Amino acid sequence: MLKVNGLEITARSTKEQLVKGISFEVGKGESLGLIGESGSGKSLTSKAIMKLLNKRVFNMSGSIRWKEQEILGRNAKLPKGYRGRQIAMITQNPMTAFAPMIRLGRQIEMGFDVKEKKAKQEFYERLDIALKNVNLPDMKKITNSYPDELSGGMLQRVMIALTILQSPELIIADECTTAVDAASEYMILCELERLRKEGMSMIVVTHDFGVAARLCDKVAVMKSGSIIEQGKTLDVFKSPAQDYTKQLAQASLLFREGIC
Amino acid sequence: MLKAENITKRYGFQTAVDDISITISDDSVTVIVGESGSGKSTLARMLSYIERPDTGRILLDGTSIGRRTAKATRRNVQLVMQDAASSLDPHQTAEQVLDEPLKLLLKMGRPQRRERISELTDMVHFPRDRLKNKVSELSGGQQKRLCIARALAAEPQHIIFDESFSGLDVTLRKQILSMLKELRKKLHISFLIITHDLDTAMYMADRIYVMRFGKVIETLERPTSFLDLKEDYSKELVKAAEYKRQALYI
Repeated sequence: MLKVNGLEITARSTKEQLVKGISFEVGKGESLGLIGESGSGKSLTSKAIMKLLNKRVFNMSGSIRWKEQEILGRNAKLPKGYRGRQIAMITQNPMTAFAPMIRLGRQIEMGFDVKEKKAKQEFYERLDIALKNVNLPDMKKITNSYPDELSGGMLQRVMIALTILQSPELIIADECTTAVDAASEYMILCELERLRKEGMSMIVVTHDFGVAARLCDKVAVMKSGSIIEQGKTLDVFKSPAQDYTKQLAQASLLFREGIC
Repeated sequence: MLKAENITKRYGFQTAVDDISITISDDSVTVIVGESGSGKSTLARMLSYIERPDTGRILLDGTSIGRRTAKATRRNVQLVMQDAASSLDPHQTAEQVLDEPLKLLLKMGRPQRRERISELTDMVHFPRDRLKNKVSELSGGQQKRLCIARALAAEPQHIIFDESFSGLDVTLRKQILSMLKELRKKLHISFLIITHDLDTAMYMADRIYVMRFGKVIETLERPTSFLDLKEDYSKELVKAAEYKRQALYI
């Protein structure tokens, strides 16, 4: 479905190459994990796929094809509903994802364009269920508050619920469980795993092998802008070819005694 | 020894910390685990005397901390916050950050201070050639190391880490945690680590307190396995931690 081929991203001001010709593919119903430490170019890649990078700041070359249509070229046109209905992204920083001066309820309504009373009622019922699935039982409290009244973890969960509600064809989850506590992380991962079983494609950007093992069929390990290893998740974890991957795998599990 | 006796803290109608007694023994690592909103951070702020408890008292080596003894407490109990970037002054250089506590708290002379700064940077593996850089020019990991070095500069007995490791990526977290283990052996300081991550807790702890809704629901001495946790809620935390790990062991 999504094919990235030789993607290169360069910062225009410093001429520094940030992503160095990476290629990967995500088929229908497949789930790919992009693993690497901070600063390895994972987030840049996912933003490039969403076409959220500023052309004046970054120079991009290579090709990104979505359903056999080129997205990246000079004259490329985005298909209708490319961002949102087809590909949805859960960003890393939930604090900057919402408008600060509008109550969350109204913001959410705007995005989904519900006008009639009946449709609205139906929509809020669906929203209630979606929020409950990510460990937010009190919908009234959420919809009546401004973004700065909720904690970062709560906003993150609201964003995940919204993404799920949109039911896109591909979800890009960019470090979506870093800011939330362990119990909520568990619920979010369960929810994403359920979606994956229903056949949604995913790109999971993470630095945690545990998350990748739950959600991804295959992983691509990134280091300073290039993919150094690619393969099935458990194969890469159990017999890593690169030293860096080995380090990453060891760091994911601190406590080894006990159950395992 | 830092000890809290029956402390309670209310904000309006909400009780953040409800009648808690905990002990942090010298030369050990104590970990408090709990979900967000369980009162962990409030407890940390009270132990470092940034906030005062409504009832109950906090004892440092047997003396109760009050207004008169607060200054000594602040030196002896240091707090490292979650967000390194916002707890450092972006206009200061790394050197200035470390210089300040040495000058103000320990009243050291300039040559001594310079020596101590290079000692501190070596302790936390902070690259020496970046000492002249502004804080805003440092990477996230370097900022974190700098925060820890600043806490160490005051030569405290106790350091409290309030969710200091939760935003870090896993490789960096491992590096910093193993550095702390090393430091504790060398300097005989006690650490109080506040986290929601059971993995970190088990890796570091001599004693674990599990908190929920402002109360301590379980205490665990010298944990060796997740199975040691007995309460229902703790088991749920274990389930959450195991969830990710299991996938790697199928």
